[in-house]
Amino acid sequence: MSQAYARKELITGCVSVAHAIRLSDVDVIAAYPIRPYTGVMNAVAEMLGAGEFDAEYLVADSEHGQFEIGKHASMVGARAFVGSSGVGWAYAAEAIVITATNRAPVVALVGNRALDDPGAFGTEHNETLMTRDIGWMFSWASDAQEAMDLTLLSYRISEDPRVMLPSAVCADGSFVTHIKYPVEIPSQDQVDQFLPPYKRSFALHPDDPFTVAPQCNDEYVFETRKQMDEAVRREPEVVVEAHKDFSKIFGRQHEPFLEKYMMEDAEIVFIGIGSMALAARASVRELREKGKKVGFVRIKRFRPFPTDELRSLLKGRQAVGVVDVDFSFGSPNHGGVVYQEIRSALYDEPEKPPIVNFIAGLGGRPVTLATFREIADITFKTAEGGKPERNVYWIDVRV
Amino acid sequence: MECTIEEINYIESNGRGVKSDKIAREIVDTIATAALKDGKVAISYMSYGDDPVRVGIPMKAFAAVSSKWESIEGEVARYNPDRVNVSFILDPTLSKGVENWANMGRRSILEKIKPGALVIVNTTMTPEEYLNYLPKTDLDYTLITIDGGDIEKPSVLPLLGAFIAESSIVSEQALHDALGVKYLDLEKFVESPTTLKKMKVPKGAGGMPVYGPPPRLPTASEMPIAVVVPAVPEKSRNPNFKTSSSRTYKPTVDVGQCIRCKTCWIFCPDGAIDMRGDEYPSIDYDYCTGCGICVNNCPVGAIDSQIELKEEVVK
Repeated sequence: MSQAYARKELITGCVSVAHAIRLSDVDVIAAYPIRPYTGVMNAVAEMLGAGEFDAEYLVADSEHGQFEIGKHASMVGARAFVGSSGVGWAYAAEAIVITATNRAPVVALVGNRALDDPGAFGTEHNETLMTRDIGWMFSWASDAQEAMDLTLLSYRISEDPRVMLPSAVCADGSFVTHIKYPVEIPSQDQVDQFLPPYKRSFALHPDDPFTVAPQCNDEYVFETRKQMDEAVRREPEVVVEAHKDFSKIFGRQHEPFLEKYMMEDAEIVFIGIGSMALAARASVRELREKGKKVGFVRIKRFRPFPTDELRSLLKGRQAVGVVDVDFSFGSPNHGGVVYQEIRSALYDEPEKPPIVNFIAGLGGRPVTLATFREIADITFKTAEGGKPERNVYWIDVRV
Repeated sequence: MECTIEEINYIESNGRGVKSDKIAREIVDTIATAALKDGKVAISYMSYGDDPVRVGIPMKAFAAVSSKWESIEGEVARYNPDRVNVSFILDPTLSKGVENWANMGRRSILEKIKPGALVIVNTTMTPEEYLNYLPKTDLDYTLITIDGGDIEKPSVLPLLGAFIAESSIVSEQALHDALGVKYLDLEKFVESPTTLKKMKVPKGAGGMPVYGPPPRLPTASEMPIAVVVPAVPEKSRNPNFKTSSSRTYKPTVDVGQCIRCKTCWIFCPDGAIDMRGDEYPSIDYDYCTGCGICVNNCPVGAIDSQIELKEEVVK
């Protein structure tokens, strides 16, 4: 049963992603529960049970098995979906790595969750960021609508013959996965128009036997890495094309790499990832009312990193405040991961704005308007002084 | 009473895990969907820590309604709103207090209401009677009681019927449309403002003491490394997590009938029954969740349970 027309419903990010899976006609869904990701597998199971679409739905023995199923399904030419959160993602790490190296364009939902111990199911971005270097592409949603749209875009981009790499759609636990937002659900016709069938050259099949990824050591491995590097470098052009088609077909405009909020004349810039965008935008509006020239940049795609876009966007700004919902203990300046990436991206620039880093929202503590008021004060001082007084500030933590 | 229309209207629905959590969510989802049909913006969510739910545990679901997205946006990525305009209490025994997870202790059922809020309770009592079981507050509010048909699993229609009679957050037509084909007879349940059982509750009224402020949580420098929780001493129970807020039905032992067979002591899943040597069973009501397993398993029918409203406030 497919909907002929687009409709609007109040649904969570998890249900929204499940609709994207249904509409993408995914063939194999491998599942293993861990919240907040569990919301997706529950919603998919309900849709399959109601006969809304047809797919193989396998509940694995663990996240490791789950991601192996996804990879193998993709290798035989089936469109596959997996997903996890926090330590579940970490437990699947071995399968996650080979999904990329085997060039299986699986799409995963990461419901961002703090890594245990101690037990917590609130948002942190570390589980995703610890797998940032292995050829997966990461996009981050800020609400339920975007979680759906990024899932549809991910299949299109991942399965493009120029890319053939897996994608993860990241959604903050609770704030994106479990809050019900009004979401426009596209029609099957629209999705069919946007998403061509998944075709794999060298799909595994008993009639045409071959081996993928045998033991080959240094004679071949280096070259496979080079292939992946080239595929990742080709990805941005595919992203831009996919976004153009997306807005044409669905009528919703999405910036492909960076959300730029009130950035035209912004002197002070906040940068962040995920659902903090909601409080950040509200904060920017509040500060603008007071006559402060502030803007917000949301990194929507973390891999490949939007290096050129950020370089040109940050040129000439008076100060940049990077908000990390993650940690990288012992890293340069003891800052967060996003901070490190942005500093690295700007290193070769002749004129660099001063950058100050904020660690916020760890363990799922909400990043609110009040959080941004504090962040704004420090970023303004950084602009006045021309350099940060301290490199890294922990906000909203009890010390 | 006209509900004050402010920039954001929050609606809260208090239910019990497994028993009425779906009903609680259905109420806020319906109101949020109705708001969308009215051309407003709305979101709904449940307190994230309450999912997955445990049987009987107090849980909260919320809707936020506003005329424009910009006014709601800065507030939505949170677990709980600070203050609500409307509070539904789906099980009258929730007046004993709510407790989600252990670190904030027992909180007042009315903790989140704004001045002038609408409190709608599923009970056959009059508001004047029910007020005796509610904690005192330092603000005024309107208390409505409505018979939802079942003390643990009320129907959403009488509750929404009372809501729409008193509140203008959403229109009746939109609420009707939001309920859709599932409920076609909302009209029957829309209460007339004249027959509605309601009262204006002044500041300081209520039959139960005021709850204290939430506990102060330690700082990073005060905490031992990692999260260290000392073990509960032998032959005692966790003083920081009294689970009785989950209780709707309170069991009592009739010692005249009890044969001291220890069946209840063995079956109690919360270890809330003390029985040493030849003693009669003694239920620790700070920890009894009212699950009824002892009642159902007593071989001589010596344990009976009654709906419980009043309990000593947990400090």
